[in-house]
Amino acid sequence: METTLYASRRRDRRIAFVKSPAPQDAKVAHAMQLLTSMLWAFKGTTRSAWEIASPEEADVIVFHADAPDGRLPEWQASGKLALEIATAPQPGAIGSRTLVYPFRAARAFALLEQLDAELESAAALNYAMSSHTGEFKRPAPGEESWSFVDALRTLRAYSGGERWWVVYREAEPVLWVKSGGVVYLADPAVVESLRQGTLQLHEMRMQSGAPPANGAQLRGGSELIWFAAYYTSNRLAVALSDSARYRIARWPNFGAIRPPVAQIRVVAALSARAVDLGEVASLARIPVTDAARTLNALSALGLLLPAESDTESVVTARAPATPTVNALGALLRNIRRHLGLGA
Amino acid sequence: MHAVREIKIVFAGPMGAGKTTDIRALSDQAPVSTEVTNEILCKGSPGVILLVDGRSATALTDLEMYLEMLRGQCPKQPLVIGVGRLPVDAGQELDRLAASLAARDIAAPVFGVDVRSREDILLLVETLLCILEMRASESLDGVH
Repeated sequence: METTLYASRRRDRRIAFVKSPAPQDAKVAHAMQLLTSMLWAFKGTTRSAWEIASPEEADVIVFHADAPDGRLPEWQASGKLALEIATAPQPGAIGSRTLVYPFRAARAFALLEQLDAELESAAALNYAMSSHTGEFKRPAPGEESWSFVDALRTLRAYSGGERWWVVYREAEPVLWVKSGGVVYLADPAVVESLRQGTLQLHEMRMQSGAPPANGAQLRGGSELIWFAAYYTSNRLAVALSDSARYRIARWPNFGAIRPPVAQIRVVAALSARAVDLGEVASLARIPVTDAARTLNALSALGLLLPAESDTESVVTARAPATPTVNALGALLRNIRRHLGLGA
Repeated sequence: MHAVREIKIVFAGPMGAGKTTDIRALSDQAPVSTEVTNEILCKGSPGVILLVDGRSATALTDLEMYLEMLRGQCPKQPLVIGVGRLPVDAGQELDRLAASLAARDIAAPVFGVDVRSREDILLLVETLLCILEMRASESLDGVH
């Protein structure tokens, strides 16, 4: 009975072998033939049933590392996964979807199962994103729209995949976010307006699309969701409460976000102990509205945790024998001035 | 009241992690290379910046070794960790690293940085200063 149930869940996956127009040596032909033979031998043992198909119909495209087909970026943009066959060791350039000839059956089997899982995850993401594509909700006066942040959170909930999601201002693409939300790309003026809060994200729309042009510099996706969430509202998001005490699960990667010092202070305060909105604003010496924005950004990254009780504090070691508080404060101000840091 | 004129911030990490490059990026004076024991180095320092080369095959082992050493030599000093030479899409690896540290009760910030960038090194220093400030505020709360 278990066998029947398992079989009923099996999916059909299609795989295409792309012959390069460039001359190939015998090794390449043999490597492709080897994988084809293995597919036949694996029948009935892999989680999904793999069938050879044309590139247009395929879920996975197999190509030779030294002579990739020019249509590969277009295929990848449409959600197809690329499997690279290499006939010589390529130190430092071996990806997770590479088979180096001669390869063992166990390696090919594991890679097929990995591709199957990635396709499944991508399908789940596409389904989840169906409610986020199209125009973002325009907020009514006095309200804010979390549509863009929600879309990013959904993207970040699914790892992997090669698909790009493009944010358009009318017909013009302005932002590209890769599935998984780990990286994004935009021109420097757009990045600057994102960081300054002048990018009108709620006036845009998102849909899957072509990858960005080659050569553009990728940026960390945490920067995108951090500033998008930060500028969405100067009040706490509905899931958060003014009176609740919060702490951080861990620090965000500020190497990618590069926040202003006031935001670092908020996170430092939340790393020391559980505090509420008013307390964190007071500790960081910033307006409550700015503290609320930072809490929203932490929450969007999934790093803000409610304290389990009113008395809970994160246990942190006390400072060693430090100079007196006022003297230390004066010293830190001097150091900041000397290094050209924020006040 | 005794006025504090100096603060010693320790840059720790394995060879090639970027310590000298970092200090050169910040300092008005050329760094002086010397060898001292970690115990001497940490004494009197309110905080430590730990640098690790993310491209090194031994990055995780290096990190664990230095954390162990710092826990022994200066267990109460706040720590900020900079991981250099990582690709931009390594955010999830950094998150996993930070989560594994948090699971071991080490609530240290872990940032991906370019050790050649003054801006990045200032970010590490600024974060350490913010943590020190918050600890000072806690001490002040305790006094009142």
